[in-house]
Amino acid sequence: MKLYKLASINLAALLLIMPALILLICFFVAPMILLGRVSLYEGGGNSGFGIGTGFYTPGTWTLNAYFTLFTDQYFWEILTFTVMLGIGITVVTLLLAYPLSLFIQKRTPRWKAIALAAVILPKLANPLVIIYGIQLLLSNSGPINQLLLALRLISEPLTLFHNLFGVVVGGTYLIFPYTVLVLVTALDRIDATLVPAARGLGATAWAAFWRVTFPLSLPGLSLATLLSLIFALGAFESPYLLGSPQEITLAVDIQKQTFENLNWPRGAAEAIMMLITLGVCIALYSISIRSTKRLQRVV
Amino acid sequence: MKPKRFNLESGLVFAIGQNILGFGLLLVLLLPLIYVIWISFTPGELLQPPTGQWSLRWYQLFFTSPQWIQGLINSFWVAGMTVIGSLLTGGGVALAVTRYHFRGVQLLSGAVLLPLFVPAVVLAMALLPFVHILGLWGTRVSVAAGHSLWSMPVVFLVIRAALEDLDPDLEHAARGLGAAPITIFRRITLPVIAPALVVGAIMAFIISLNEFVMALFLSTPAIETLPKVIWPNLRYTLTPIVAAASSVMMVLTLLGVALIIWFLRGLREAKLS
Amino acid sequence: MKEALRLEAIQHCYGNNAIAVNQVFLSIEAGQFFCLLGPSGCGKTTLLRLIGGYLKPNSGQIFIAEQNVTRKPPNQRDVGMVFQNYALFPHLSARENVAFGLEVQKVPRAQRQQQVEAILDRVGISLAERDRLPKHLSGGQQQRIALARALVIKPKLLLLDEPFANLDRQLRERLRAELKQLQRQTGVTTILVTHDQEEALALADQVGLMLDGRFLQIDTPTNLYQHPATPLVAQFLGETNLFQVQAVEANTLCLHNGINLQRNMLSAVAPGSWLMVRPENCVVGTAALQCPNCWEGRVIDSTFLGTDRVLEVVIGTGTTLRVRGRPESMPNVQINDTLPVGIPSQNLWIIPEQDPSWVAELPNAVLKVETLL
Repeated sequence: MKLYKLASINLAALLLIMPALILLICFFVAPMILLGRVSLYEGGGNSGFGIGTGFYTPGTWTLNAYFTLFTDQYFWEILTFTVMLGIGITVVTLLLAYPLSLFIQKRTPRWKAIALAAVILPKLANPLVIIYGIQLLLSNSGPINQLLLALRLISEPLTLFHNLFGVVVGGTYLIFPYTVLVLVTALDRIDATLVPAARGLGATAWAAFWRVTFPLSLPGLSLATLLSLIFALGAFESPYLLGSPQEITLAVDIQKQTFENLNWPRGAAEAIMMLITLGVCIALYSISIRSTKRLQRVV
Repeated sequence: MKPKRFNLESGLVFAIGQNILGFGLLLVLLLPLIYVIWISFTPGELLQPPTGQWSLRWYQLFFTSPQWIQGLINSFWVAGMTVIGSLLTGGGVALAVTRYHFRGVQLLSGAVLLPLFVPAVVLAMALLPFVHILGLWGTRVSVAAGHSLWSMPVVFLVIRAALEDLDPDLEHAARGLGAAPITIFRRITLPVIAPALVVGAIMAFIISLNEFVMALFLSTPAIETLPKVIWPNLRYTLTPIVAAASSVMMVLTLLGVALIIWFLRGLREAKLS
Repeated sequence: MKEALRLEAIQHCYGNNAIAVNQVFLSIEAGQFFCLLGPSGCGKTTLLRLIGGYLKPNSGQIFIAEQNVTRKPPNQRDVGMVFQNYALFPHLSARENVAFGLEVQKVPRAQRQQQVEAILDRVGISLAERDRLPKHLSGGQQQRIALARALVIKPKLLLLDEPFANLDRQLRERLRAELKQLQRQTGVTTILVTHDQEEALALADQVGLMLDGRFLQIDTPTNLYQHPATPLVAQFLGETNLFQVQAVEANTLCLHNGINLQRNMLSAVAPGSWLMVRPENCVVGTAALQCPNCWEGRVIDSTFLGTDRVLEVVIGTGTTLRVRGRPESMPNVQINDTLPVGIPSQNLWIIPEQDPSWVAELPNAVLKVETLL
């Protein structure tokens, strides 16, 4: 009886998780493994889109793709830029998101819900739409320039996009919602009576924040940083649409290699490199968790 | 006492300043979206907001242009398939995780969330040769499968939360009254978590509708989704039709969000009773 | 009479080896109203769920209507259960909730409708309320519907898990009375779990007092109250005065602090035994002077409770006696006044047994017998 029960319970559970397992294994794990495999192929010639074996030469094993990457000065520039941009966007996002999260977290439940909805809305919308909107806003004949001109602050329109500025603005917009959500959740977990207690003991508003709220928010802050970094490193739409050829990130280059140069192995190799970079960041994150714990006690 | 008054005043200024900054920032966040919708009504050819009369000409153009309409239809197909896929995968795991205890429950819950942590580009780049080999390249199913990787975790979290909120005694009572497990699921569990199912479905739909990177990598001209159709227009022809297309997507998304809020309220009421 | 329920050596442990129900034996006659009484965590709810089939015992057998149901799932035991939070299906109306069990058993529609309406009439749900969803009904109405739902399937056993716990006092008493009447009319064997003594004494034909997964005593309410088997049982129900016998002499029993009791009508008493007298069975004033056991007591506390007055009186060199009586029959005394206080012989009860040994091992004992020193 018991054996049958054991088997039947597991059978039902197995049936239930089967679809998810199929999806994960077939469309996630297998492709990722294949990605590694593809990066080890010999690159194909430009023999046409979808015709023959133009993307890679099947059956080959070579480290050619990686070799070309590592010796390509261009690749290193892109990688460096991607990492710098990623860090830059993350910092800007955090600087803006943290005060906003503090602000939202203190609102009454009704306003809080409305504010959070306003923050999440851009995330539910199409990133293309947002980028498009930013393009329009930042363009030479767009409202921002018009405003600055009208206020006589500038004499001719500023180029606000097709440069680094535009990319950072776009990237921040797209990552912002995640960061705010994580931070607000983390701030919510802090006991609401701690700050009034600190104030009652004589602390000023700033001291109460710096010595109570901030240290307690550090775990949430580092999670938000990690998430932002992951997304910022994978930035694609912003650099592509709002940047100039100077601002090519790794993600953009993957797309170029795959669709313009039809060099799938190289695209795959770059994707693997991106994963490795991510892995390094996550490792650094784990280390940072340990040091923030120490920081909590010091502050 | 001097220090106290200083604190009070600066506190007030601080509060006002914070309010302005806070609400201001929120407004700035929404500005691009609002601007796009505004521009979509312009009568002229230029990307200027309508200054006089508003015109629906770009919407007309959108709805009569075969390429755009096909893009919209494709988006709906893919989104529909994504919804079904996410409900089966995410819902199945949610049920299994809350109803059964087996080794690896934690692992499975984490595994379901894993795709969210991989950059979209990497996933797309991995799926491309894969579907190519499988011969699925250029089918809507492949895009839907990719989208499901993103929406399965969301559906999983939503349904799991609803199942955890479900009073276990409800199912016990049904059992004691003579119902077999399948009957219990059909007549008790499913109706009670129905709002969560709907919320999960709508979220999956919205995610798929707006997803771009995977659509970019995996689409061929026959099965382009709407974001993919917008894409070249963003880089080359900047006519307001893009604004119209974007606004259509925005409206659909907002509709979905409104429905979600409506169902969430129903969920909350059920919980309180 | 048929035996409606029999439990043999039922044992149930929770995962971390915490024994919830410890080698329990129980037998309940058909048609009886049985109450499982005990403090929170004593295992009564666990026992109820074991009977219902929602939990599986680690060992032991369960017989319902003389059939062994130990291995049977809840839907095959013919048991109706009312859960503590009612567990009404939120998406079905009152009527549909009650009809559920009959629907599942494929009772034909006409018959089903008639039975549903009949039971709803019986528990007192108006026609207008029958189409409403549970969330639009009051706690009392929800309770009645849960009861109707369990009864309509004509179970062999009706189980109730603290059904009145979430209701206010007046409603609780009213529903209690209705339940008792319903049980008499239908004759269904009922087991009710509660931590409320008053409820158990009012409703039950038999009460099973449970502590730490074991039964301390199973008896009628009257016997349980007037003739408790152990000091712990005496202490659990209501208020009591407990004395322990130190030494036995020819005519007297020596208690602490030099209190001696006349031995007249007390039969075999050994040193170490416990004696009990309920506060309402003690007398003060002139009536006390007629008792063989009478002392001059000093009042240290006096409380007026509406229907009664309670006095704490010190007799001898430090023994406190609690006396309870109608206010009008009590002399009007102040603190530190003295007055005669006595115990009529027939009101002294010799507690036949000591507490079982496992009581001493209870962690910071839920109930501790207070020695009166």
